[in-house]
Amino acid sequence: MPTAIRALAVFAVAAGALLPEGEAGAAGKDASALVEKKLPNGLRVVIQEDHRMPTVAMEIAYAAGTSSDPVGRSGLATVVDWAMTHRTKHVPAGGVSRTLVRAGATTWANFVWIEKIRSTVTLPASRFEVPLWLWSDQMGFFDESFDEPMLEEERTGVLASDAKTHSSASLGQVSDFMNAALYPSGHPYRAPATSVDGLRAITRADVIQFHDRWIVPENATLTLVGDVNPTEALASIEKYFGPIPRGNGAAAVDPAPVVLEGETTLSIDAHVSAPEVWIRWPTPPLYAEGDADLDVVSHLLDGTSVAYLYWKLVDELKVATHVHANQWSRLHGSLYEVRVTGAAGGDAKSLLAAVNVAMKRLYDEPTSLVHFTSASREYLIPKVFGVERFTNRAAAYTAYATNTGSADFFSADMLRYDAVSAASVSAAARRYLPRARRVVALVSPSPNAPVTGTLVATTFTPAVAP
Amino acid sequence: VRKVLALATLALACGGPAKPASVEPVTIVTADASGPAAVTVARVTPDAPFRDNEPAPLATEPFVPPVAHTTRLPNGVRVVVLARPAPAIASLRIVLVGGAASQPKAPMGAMLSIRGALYTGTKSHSRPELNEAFSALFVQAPDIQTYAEDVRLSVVASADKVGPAFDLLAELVLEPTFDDALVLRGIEQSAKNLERDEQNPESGARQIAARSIFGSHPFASEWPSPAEQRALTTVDVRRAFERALDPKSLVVVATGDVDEKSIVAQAARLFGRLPPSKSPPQPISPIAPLPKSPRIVLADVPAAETAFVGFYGIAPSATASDYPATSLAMDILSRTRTSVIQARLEHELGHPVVGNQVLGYTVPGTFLGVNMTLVRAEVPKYLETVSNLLAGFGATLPDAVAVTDAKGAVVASIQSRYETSEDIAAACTGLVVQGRDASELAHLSDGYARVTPDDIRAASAKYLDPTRMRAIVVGDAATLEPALKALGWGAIEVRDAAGVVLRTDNP
Repeated sequence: MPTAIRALAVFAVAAGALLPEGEAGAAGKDASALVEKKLPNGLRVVIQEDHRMPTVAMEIAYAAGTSSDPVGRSGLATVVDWAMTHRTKHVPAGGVSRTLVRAGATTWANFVWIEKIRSTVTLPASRFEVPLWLWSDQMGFFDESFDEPMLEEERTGVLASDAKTHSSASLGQVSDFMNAALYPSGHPYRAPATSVDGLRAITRADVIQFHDRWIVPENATLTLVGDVNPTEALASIEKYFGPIPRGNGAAAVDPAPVVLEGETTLSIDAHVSAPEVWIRWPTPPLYAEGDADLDVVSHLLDGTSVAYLYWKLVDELKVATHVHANQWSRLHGSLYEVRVTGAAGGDAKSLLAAVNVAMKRLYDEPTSLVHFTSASREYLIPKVFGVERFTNRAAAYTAYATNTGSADFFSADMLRYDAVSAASVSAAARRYLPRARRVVALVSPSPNAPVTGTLVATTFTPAVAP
Repeated sequence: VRKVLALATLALACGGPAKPASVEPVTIVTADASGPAAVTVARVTPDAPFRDNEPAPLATEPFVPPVAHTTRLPNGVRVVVLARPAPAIASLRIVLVGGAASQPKAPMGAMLSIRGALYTGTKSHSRPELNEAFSALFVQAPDIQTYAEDVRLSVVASADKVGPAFDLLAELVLEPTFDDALVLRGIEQSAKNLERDEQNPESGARQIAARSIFGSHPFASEWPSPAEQRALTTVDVRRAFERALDPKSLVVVATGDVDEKSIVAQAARLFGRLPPSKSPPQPISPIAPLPKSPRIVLADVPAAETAFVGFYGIAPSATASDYPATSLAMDILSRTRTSVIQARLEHELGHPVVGNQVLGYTVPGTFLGVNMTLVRAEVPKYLETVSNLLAGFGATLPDAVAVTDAKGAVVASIQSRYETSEDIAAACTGLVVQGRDASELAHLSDGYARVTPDDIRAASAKYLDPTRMRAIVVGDAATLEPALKALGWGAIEVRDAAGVVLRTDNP
């Protein structure tokens, strides 16, 4: 295996091996290596020329997200993001979308993730200065345009979104119950991304303080991939972002690793048609030992070619209809999740017993080389071929620069999987996904319960010391 | 201090020093508009005149897109190749033109089940062996999609693996075994997915809209019910596939870092002797205009707090002369975040409809529509507002700026189809399925450039007349029906969440 993976990693090394050399389209222009630069105010800039198409994919990302919300202000990061993209000093309300449409943008989006706020856009290369104008206004000219009516407007919008996806959504509270059992008080991952109480408590001062702490040059990475000249692009970036002063220096967040002392079981009633079982474990952080193994574990449990959970629960026992397994890699400790939807008429406890049996295969039996190879390649192939798309490359470089300090990390990222083997995957499952140390949610259908779910009982079983 | 900083910034904007002047953070305290509490603003960015307006476009070289070439083998198989040497990635597709809609006599769902059935093994490889073989090539298991008008199998491979990847992909089409247990497993899983979709108002609404609009037309065959799906047998699926496998309907599409001669030669070796189907795909008849009544179809999801609501009508075919104008009208009406419908609706409702944006669909030759999710109390206002807007759209809109913006968006969108080998393959496939030559991709934007505002008005009057469209509402019928009757739009057809007609209530 290692030889094969090494060959594949060489194939994909730094994305450069997949990029045009010499031809780069009929124009005969060259694709370039990665250009990385830090402006004096701390803004990190990443540029890669690629002249196959007359477009450019751009992204700006801030190393802050919903986990940066102060306690009791869940939703603040989202409100800040929505407000920034609504109106700033030089960009009137609705101007971001209108301007990008006029500039010929084919895609643009904003994301507020647990530890990142991102804006992305793909547009004709001749208009690459437009996002620079918009984003520099959001970074440098936000405070003076943000007033109380705007806060109310954003609050209303985010509350509506929260109702749809969280506070009124089917099983919308289950994750909250689990995170409260998983993370100690004050941990950045404990609170939900948005909450009704948190949103109602947000003041104008909260928004401005969040913006001044996190939406600052030294906390941002700006990436351009496409039909641009790096020298010209850098000059424009310095023009728009150079004058923006640094922030006040945000204190680094470094929560202690989460260690569970046993199994917490949450009994939840919900107005749903079938039982569900959710299981969560705290797992190693992004890029740490075990993180790559657990990515492969997900494709063993719930992949296209190999699917231990699906085979056992859906095909063989017929006690479930859908299964899902994923390693949510995060900087301050990842989260592994297994979620199973049971067959109608079943009960959650029996479903959990079946899940335990299905997981046993992963713990007790050696993973075959065939299964391991299929699962690991299923994870790697989309990553490798995905770099053909400008947007994906911009996203990857931005993430690498933000998370590791260097955008040139693709090769290192892929080579992490060189160290993964059939044996290490099984070992990682046993070590990081122990049955005795986890949080389990047993969701039982109940016609009188809310669709969001209500917590009816919590039990704790301490783990026996090895 | 501000003046100095502003001048320094202005100097930069006018071509001053390459590095920005050092800006010392300035701390000021301003009164908070919300009350007596003060807000500390620790950073002030110096303003400059260049920030007042959006940047002007920069000069760029015109884009010269590569052109697809089509070769026809003696038995009718077409081979479409669009070569672009770098990066070293290729996309390969095998397309069977003529999907579910071209087999009106096949059981509902049979063609769609080919999706799972084709990957259950071949005469040379069991399914696990297929997984292993693709994995060994560093190729993901093929993506198999089935639509009303075609079946597509596709893989992406590194350039040096194109040959073996093409052989393996072709094997799925030429030697399928239709393993009974695996086919039935796939059918059952599809049925479960359909059941889950029915629980989701948005996906459920699209099914209901399609069934309501297509009626007995073969396009409805793309939307089987879970029960129809479960009634299928492996023999049904095999027969449907055998009818679809006809050399005149088979198209190979290869894009990216491929050698055209090698691809054509390999296609000839693989498919050159493919015999004609005994019952080849039938031409698809046009959809009849929708009857004027009922205008409203209400699908009942008891106690749902929100409702899914939209207007749907019949779309022109992609080759129709008024397709570009219709497509531009839909773009203006429903483009994400700058939608005319959304703006009008927010004006009427008095609040933003964030998180529930207007979505628009134009499926050439089938249907078009706009829809969104709302709290149920706002549904009547949505229907009135959108109906009035559509009715007056031709007379009041679009203005020249809206048309120019929409054209720009379409041209950019067409250029974006050249980003990856997979994008190019998808674009070429789309054209081939529409009965066009893949080389048209290179000048697809020309048809949009010629569209005038009058063309858009004419297309709107023809295809977006709200009295000839269906209003589909998915939500709590007990509370919605009285409010919908009050609109005075005539009969209301009430269906259950699965789309089965329960009754038609006349006013």
